[in-house]
Amino acid sequence: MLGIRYYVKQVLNTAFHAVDLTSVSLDALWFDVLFFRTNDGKSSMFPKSFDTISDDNLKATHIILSNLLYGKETKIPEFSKELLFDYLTITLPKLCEIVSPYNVWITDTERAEELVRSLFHKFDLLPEGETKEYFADRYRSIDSRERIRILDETKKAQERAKEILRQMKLKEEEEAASKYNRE
Amino acid sequence: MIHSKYAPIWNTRIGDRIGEGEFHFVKNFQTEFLLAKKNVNYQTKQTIISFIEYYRHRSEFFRTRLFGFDIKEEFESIPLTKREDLQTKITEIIPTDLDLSKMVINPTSGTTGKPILAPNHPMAIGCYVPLIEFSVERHGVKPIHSPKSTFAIQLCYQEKTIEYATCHSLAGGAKFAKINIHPNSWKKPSDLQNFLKESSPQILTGDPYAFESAMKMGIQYRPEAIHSTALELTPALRLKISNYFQCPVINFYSLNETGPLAYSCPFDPEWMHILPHDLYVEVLTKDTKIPVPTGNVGEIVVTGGRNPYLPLLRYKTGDIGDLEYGPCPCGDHFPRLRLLSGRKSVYFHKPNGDTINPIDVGRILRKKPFIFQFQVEQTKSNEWVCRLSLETEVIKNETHWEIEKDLLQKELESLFGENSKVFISTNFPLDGKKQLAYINSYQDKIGVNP
Repeated sequence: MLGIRYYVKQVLNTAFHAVDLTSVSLDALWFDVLFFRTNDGKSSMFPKSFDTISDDNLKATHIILSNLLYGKETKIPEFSKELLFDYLTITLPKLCEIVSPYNVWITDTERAEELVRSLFHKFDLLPEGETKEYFADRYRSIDSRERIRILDETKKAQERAKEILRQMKLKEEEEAASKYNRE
Repeated sequence: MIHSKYAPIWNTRIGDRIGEGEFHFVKNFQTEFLLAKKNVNYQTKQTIISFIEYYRHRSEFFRTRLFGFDIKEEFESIPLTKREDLQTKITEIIPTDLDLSKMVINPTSGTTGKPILAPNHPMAIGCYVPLIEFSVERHGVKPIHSPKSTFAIQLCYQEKTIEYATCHSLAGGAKFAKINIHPNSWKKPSDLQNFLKESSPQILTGDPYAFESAMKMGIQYRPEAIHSTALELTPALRLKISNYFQCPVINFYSLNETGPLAYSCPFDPEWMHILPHDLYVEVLTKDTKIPVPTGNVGEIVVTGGRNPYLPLLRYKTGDIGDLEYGPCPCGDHFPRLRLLSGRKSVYFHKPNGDTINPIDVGRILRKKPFIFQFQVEQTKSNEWVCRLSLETEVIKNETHWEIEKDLLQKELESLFGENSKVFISTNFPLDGKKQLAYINSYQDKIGVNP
């Protein structure tokens, strides 16, 4: 594996100028990726066609990812076709709902990193020079789903903090618990 | 006890708040603790990891502090928790989704720095019982678990304090009382002596100040042991108390934030054995903050504990000492700690010669919610300086502050006695550090022996 910056750059540099979104075949792109990157890909494709996708954001994100996974020079180890399929059908549509339009993936460095990390997280891969803990913390801090959850919870946390302080004040005045000694 | 004709003027009702859940928790803790003592399984850097991992995703404070850390590999780089964090970030430290209804706040007198309102749980406070009982057993006292017996009486000497009698369900219903030996608390002067005799506690607990006051008052009672906490117990004073009360004196190191930490070794009382099995103790250098090798002095830092509301992550206690590993002739082979500069007892003297417990001063100042931190110094036989750090809003409103200041001055002067003068200044820094709250520079100057 290479350092995370390499993969982020790959995403940011996706050559959309060479892509015609209306006519591109995602199945063809994925066939190429699987053919070159997994032994499995040589004999079978995904159980479902992605060419039916009509949403441009999701379609474009497929292109970004297929571009990222394509060449062996990426040093991304061989991955499981099933995991990738899961990721593309379950995680990715959710991410694309939150991060839109697709240009954000290729213009905002942090979102590009999020896309890479979410995929690596699924594949259980560690970029060079990172520990599992660092990866998990960094991913959690830039994960859009997590950010939305945190925004939701910030309000709850503020209310809870208020409640804790109120309770502490109250408890200071009510019965303590007997201790044999003082400190 | 409550109905004894010799009883002091009880002013509080208090129990141990041990329900069924708490009872089982403490009993399990006791079993694990005794087993750990027997097998010499004290907490280490390796074994405390699971505790930290547990709270990493339950406490927001742990989560942000441990961001990006491989705890196992980079333990020494984990930022230290300061007293200030406990004062300002307590709502982040308390794990999320914890039921707050069982929270208790034991108001502490505090002799150094701003007191921390450390939230606690009755089950964690319940664990004091097996820990304290273990320490007295190590000094030859077998606690009697019977409702007829009084295990301990806590003594203090203050103008005002809470006084109560209760029983501890974790000690088989044995009785316990906290009493104030100050003459203010008794209907007749002879009652104190009679009450002690009638209750016949196995041990007396308290701080060195209380025991000194008891000796000065000529109290005659022979407990099986004395348990001294809260303030530094010098070897000279330990001997004096031991000779007077004719019993072993156990020096006990316990913090409101951690609970019991260590007790003095029966073989060599200068050293204290780490008591609980669930706290990891480090001693760190002042400057580089790295752990010092055995025999070197540094700041005591603790991780772990059993208080669900206050999990500690490398908490700087502010106390200085050194730590030694290896077997001990006394039979407790947990590491031994030597506290070097503990909390010295400070006494104030009224112009007429009577002593004042600084805790009474604290009681007056802490009633004022706008006072964040304070320091009170006796500078002359009848003069005191009271330094305060105040809420900015209070200082801004000059008229209001003048009224408050006047009231405070009057209250303190009434405590310090006739002809006393108190000067109040408001430039005391609020930096969260463990500052001495009480100083008697007059006594130091004239060399009055407490």
